[in-house]
Parts: sequence; C-alpha cells; structure tokens
Amino acid sequence: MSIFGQTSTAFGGTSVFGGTSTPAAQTQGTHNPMKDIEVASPPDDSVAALAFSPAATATTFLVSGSWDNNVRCWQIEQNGQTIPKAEQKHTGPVLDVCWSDDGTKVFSASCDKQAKCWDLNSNQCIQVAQHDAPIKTVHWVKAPNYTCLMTGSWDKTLKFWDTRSPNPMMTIQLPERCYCADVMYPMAVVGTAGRGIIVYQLDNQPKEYKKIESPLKYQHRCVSIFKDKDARPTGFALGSIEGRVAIHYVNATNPRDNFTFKCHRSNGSNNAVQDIYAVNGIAFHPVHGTLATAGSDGKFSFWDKDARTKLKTSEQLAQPISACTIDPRGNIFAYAASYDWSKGHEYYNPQQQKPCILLRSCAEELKPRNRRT
Amino acid sequence: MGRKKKKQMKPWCWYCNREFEDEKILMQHQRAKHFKCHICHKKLYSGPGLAIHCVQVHKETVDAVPNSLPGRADIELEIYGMEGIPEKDLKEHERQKIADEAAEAGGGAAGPVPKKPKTDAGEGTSAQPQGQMPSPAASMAPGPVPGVPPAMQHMPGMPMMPPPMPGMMPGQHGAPGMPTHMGMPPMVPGMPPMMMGMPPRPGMPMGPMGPMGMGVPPGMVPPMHGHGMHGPGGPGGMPPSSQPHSAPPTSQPPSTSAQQMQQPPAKPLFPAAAPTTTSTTGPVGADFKPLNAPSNIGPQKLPPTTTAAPLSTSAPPNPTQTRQATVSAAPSISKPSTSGGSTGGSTKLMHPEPEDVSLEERRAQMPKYNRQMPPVSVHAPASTSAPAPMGQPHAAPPVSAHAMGPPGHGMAPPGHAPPFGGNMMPPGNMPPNMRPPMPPPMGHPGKRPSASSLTHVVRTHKGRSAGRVSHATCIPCTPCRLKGPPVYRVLPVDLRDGLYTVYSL
Repeated sequence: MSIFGQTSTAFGGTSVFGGTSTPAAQTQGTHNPMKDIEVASPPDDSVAALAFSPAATATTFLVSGSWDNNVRCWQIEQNGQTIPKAEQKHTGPVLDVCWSDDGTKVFSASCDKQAKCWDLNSNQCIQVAQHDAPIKTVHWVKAPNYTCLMTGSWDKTLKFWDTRSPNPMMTIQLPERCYCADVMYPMAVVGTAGRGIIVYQLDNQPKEYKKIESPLKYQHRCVSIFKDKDARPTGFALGSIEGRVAIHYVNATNPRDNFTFKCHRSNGSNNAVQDIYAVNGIAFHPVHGTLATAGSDGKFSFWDKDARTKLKTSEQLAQPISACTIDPRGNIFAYAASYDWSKGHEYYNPQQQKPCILLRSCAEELKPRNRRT
Repeated sequence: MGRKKKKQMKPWCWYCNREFEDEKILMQHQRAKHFKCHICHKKLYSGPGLAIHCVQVHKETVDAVPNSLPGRADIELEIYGMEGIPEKDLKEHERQKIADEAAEAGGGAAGPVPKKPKTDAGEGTSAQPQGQMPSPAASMAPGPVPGVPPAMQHMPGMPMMPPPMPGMMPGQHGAPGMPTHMGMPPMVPGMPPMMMGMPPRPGMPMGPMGPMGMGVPPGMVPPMHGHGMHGPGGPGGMPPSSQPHSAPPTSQPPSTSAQQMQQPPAKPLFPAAAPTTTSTTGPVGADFKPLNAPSNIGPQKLPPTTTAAPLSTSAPPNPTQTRQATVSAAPSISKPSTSGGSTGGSTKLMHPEPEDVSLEERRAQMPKYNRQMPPVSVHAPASTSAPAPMGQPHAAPPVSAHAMGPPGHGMAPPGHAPPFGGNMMPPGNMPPNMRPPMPPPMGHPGKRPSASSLTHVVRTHKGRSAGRVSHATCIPCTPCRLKGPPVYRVLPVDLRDGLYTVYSL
C-alpha cells in the first residue's frame, strides 16, 4: 500500500506526467496529442482489451489483448515508466482479458474459441474454457462461496468455468451472440447482438435476473457496471455504435434516473454531415463513480453521470481508441489507440499506424465538479 | 348535461387543445410540455424561444413544438398561454366548444368520454392525474395528447360504444379548420342508442371532441384531418396515438402509461413493469430524452419479429418517427440524431453495414485473422442448437481435458503446426487451420484431411455428399435435418466465389 500511496502522488500529480520523463513520452504527434505516457513495446496489431491488475497486487501491471494473438503484460512504475514483462500467445486474436481477484492470474479470451489462464508466477498458460465460436468476453467472478470464470461467446452461450475442470460449471444460452459483458459481484450484465441486455445475479450460482429492453437503438458495443453509494452494483452504462451511452439502473427507483447521452460525434456544422462514431469502451472511476468513454473518433471523454455533465473531452488522436480502462485505485487511465475496423478493412493500415497504449493521470480530471446547490 | 353549459371558455392550449382551469396552469403546462428543451430540460417561454435556445446552446434545430397536435407544431408562432393564438383558431375553438356543448346537450352520452375515462381507465389514470399539472415527463410520451389516450382506451369498455368510436378520436383533435357540424349530424342518429347506456357524467367536460367524433363513421375520418394522420387506419383510428395500428388495444395502455408515468407517480408502475423483463420499454428510454420515446415503440414491434431483430432494429426508427410526427411533433426534434446513419440524413454512422454485425466479427472474418473461424453471420443461429447438445456430453470432456493436461502445451505458436495425427490431440496443439469448430469431430479424426490454408467444416451424414455447399451452410451453421449420427468433413474454402467445395472422403 505504501508504494501505492506514492504512486498516487505520482499519478495524481502533474509533475511526473506533465514532464517528458520517459523516453516514450518524447514521441509526439497526433498519435499522442496530449503527450501522455506511451507504454513501451506495444502490441503489433490493434488492441482489443486492456486490464489493470487488481488492487491486491503490490505493483501495478497492465495487460492487453490484441489482434496479433498476443496477451502482453507490463509493469507500470510509479514514475510512469512501463516495463514489458511477458507475453503469451493464442492461436487467434485476443478479444478480452481479465485478472483473477488476487492478481496472480490473467485470463484471456480469443477468436481461437478458447480462454486461457496465464499464471504469472509460473508463467504457464493453460486452456480453461472452450466455446464453439470465438470468445468475446472473459470475466473473473469472485463470490464468497465460489470463484469461476465467465466467458461469453459468439456461439450464443455464456459459460461459467471452474478453471480446474474441462467442463463448464454452467452454460447459459443467450438469445444472440455475446458482444459485451461486465461483472461486478453479485451482478453480471451481458449485451448481445440484436440489442439484447440480460442481467444476471451471481449469488450462490449464476442465474438470469432480468432481461432489459435496450434503451439504445443500435448495436451494443460495450457495457460497464457502476456502483451506488454503498459500493453495490446498481446499474450499468451501455455504449452503442451510434455514439450514444445509456445509463441504466437495474432497478430504478425513478425511471427518470435512466437516460442516454450522445458522445463521440463530429461537430457537424449546420450543413456538414455529422459523423457518428462507435463507443468502443466505457470505464468507471472506482472512487468517484465518474466514467470515461472511448470512441472510434479517436477521442475519449470523461463524464459525471450524476450531474449529467461532461468533464472533459480529449484531443483527437490519429486512430480510434479501441479500448480503455482505469486502474483500481483510480489514478491511471489507460487507453489504446489502434484501428477498430469501423471503416472496414480498406482503412486498415498497419504500416502507417502503429497501435499504441497511453497512460494518463486521471484522478483529478475524473473528479466530479462541485455541484451547485 | 345542462350544467355544463355554464362553463365558460376555459383557457386552452393551442398546441394540444387541452383545457385548463386557469391560464397560469396553462402556462405551466406549455412550458413543461411544449417549450421544454429536450436536451437540458430547460423550460423556455415560447416556441421560438425554444428553437433559439436549442440552436444557440445545443446546436440543434428544433423544427416543431414537442407534443403538439398535427398542424399545431409551428415553432415560429409566439404563443404563450392564451396569447398569440391565431385568431382563426381561437374562433374555431370557440365554435367547436359551442357545438360540442350543443351536441352534448343533445346527446349527452357523448360528452362524458373525456373526463371520466381518465379516472376509470387503469393505465390512463397514471397519465391523467398529471393532466392537470402537465408533467414534463408526460410530455415526452411520444404520441397521444394527454387526455386522448385514456379516452380511447376507455371507449372499448364502454357499454354502447360502437366500433366507430375509435375512429372518432382523430376527430377530437379537431383539425383547426374542421367544421364542427360536420361531425355532428351523423352523430345524432348514432348517438341516441349509445346514450342510453351511459349516464351523463357530471364532472365531465364535454370533451372537445367527444361528440363530434362519435357520429363520424370510420370511413369519414380521414378526410377530416388534413394532417396526414394515419386515420385511415380505419376503425383502429387510434393511429395518432403513436401506437402501431396493429398493436392490440391491450398493449397500448401499458406502454402509454409507462411512458407517461415517468414523472412522479412512476413508482407504482415501474416496479411492476420492471420485473417483466422485456416489457420495460417505457421507463427505460422515455424518461430522459424524447429521443428515447420512439425507441420504446420500436422495440415493441420487435417481439413479433424476434430473431429478425438485427435488421429490424435499424428499421423501426423510421416508421416510428413518421408515425409520431403525425401525432405530435415531439419526436421531430430528435430526428437529426435518431435517424442516425440509417437514414443518412445529416448524420453518418461510422460503422459498416449491416449494423448488427460487430466490428470484431467483421474483422475476424479477414483471412489474416481467420484461421479456423466459421463465418459469423446471420446464419449462426443453427450453431447454437446443433453443437451444444453433442459437444457437451461426451466429446467435450476429452478434448479440453487434454488441452489442459499438459500446461503450456496449448501455447504452440500459431502457424507452427504440430504433427497431425494423434486422435486425441488437444485443440490447443492443433494447427489452427485444422481444427474443427466443434469437439465432436474428434471422433472422426482420421477423416480429416489436412487441407489447405483455409478450411471449413460441413456437417453431413455418412454417405451423403454435401455437394456444393453455400457459405451459409458452413459449420456450425448447418442445421441438419437428416437423422443419424453426423459426420464431419473438412473442406477447403474457396473464398473467391464464396462456395465451399466438398472434399471427397
């Protein structure tokens, strides 16, 4: 903890991050317009997922899953230095990654229809889940009476795995392909094709809690659970390809609490056509309860859902922001700039545009503003 | 009935034809309902005020007054309370009023419609109470003018109500130019019988429309509204209410109320609706932005189409909008944004078509990434049913067990194909291009030819030739209708013509 106390000053203050203390940060240009810290040795192809190690680990690690089939792990130093630690390979693009609650293992989901468990201590990687189609999401479920891995796939199933058994503990049929999911015990939310949203409750054993009619009119792309004041999961933010995010309480006391807001759209002047971009990622700040959205437009934005205001919009990057996450202490916002296929394969230009992962101090920027009384 | 005559001209809202006890309340109503910014919820003071606010503050154009009746959506008109109402409309209203009263006197039964039903109709109730004090939330209700729906809903239940009733609803809105007497005459004949069953309700203001509509045969309806109402819907005349004609009457009340509920008394209804899973539409979207309102309706249409959702998802907005546009102007505000890329108005959705296939699925199809992936497509459905049953019982265990047995083995680098042969080869070690998408094939490993770079598996039955198999039938999408144990074959894929050639066994 002591280390992280310092870390928070490093990441919380502007001194370290404002300067160009790391070699990586010297690179400039539109790929990093805000001069955030660039993670060393980024993946060779688009980054599909990012995850920080849980608060349980003494050191902060960042893992990424990418389209070059790799799972990579960096150690993030408090001074902003990033040290590539290790990598593992899948036989297909890696679409999602997550950590076990104790921070000893990393799970990855891939287009090769497998999910793997990477034991960081032994650096061994074993298959722990199998689907009939690429696995889109992987989440670690830590319940008081059990732990398991939840995988959501395009084979329209949601499976729960005891990582020691080759058979799933449970298989739940989904109405459609799984596109996005989030878990915060005891709640799980799955967004599917066909604009489905299903909320599961994980106490005792996972079971469907309710299906929700989508507040959005376009394909679901990302979902993130948020907590209430008592730190209990109470709702979720759902992002769609139509530059819109819905804030939805699972059991809204007042339906007016639920709302949607637009984001990641070009400022169409009066005559110009307004471009609407997909929301590629949503991350909630663990302390403030504010959120960050990452867009296909190459920008990220910070929002205060309670005040219903925007806190900040980033400069525009040269590439879409394909993934984002916030570390469990709420100091570091990590985002990955890489092509997300939103313009099709014609615009895929791996030679010209290299993926990069950037780290930004966010504790201040994501702080809710004082509200008027 | 007679007593109603004592009523004086009550202040009424030009936008939605509603009457109020007091001009103050009318103003409140207008600000909350017609002059409220759908984005920041600021209550402005007039139509033009709202338009200017939206342009200056939000850079959006509002081309119609929210929640207004057809023909009354003019945002340019500066109307506040009773001030600014065009002379002719004022007169028209007055005339209608009188006509109504007269009608009521003559056919008392007709009049009762508006008020009583409000309190009666279960769902309508929720919305109605707010009627007096227009709630902003209610204002978002996509279609129906407050007061209208309940009446309509109620009608069916009314004893003598003949089918034409619904049709008259539109009439109620009284297109400005509509001569009141038009409706009247026919009604007379029709009315008498109805009146019998219906005791005049005291509190009931003679609904502005009640009487007129009554007599109007359904067929007549359309001509009366020049506003492009969906009136033609015929007996179902409710069209304006924003609900699809097809919607069963039962479904309408809930949704309407749900949406209107939002405001304060929401609690009772919402909880009720919430647990019912999919039916939660109302509360979900409508609350915050009017934009959502249309979506609430859209989804309702979906259920019937079920799996077709993907396509229909994008489709609904349009019909919805048009429908609503005719009803009330509310949704028109959101048009620019809601129409999104689908309609290609002034916005463009930066997402490849069709919009129901995710970027990842699309990308994963690329040969570069696609080593063993089956095409993800609309055909996927079959896969769920097919592989699931077989995969789990027997085949799966050995497969993954092996895969997990030797830790680390699974990490063979892609493209580095281990010797092919072992029956029980764990998936992890299989060359990517070789691996069948489903576990069962493990049972017939010998049959798997080591095919070229891209392979797909097609499930057929022993002895049957798959012939030329279209892309759509590629595993795991092939629903097999034949009986007997399936056999798996690995087929090289000819991506050029999108067909798979059968690999002879």
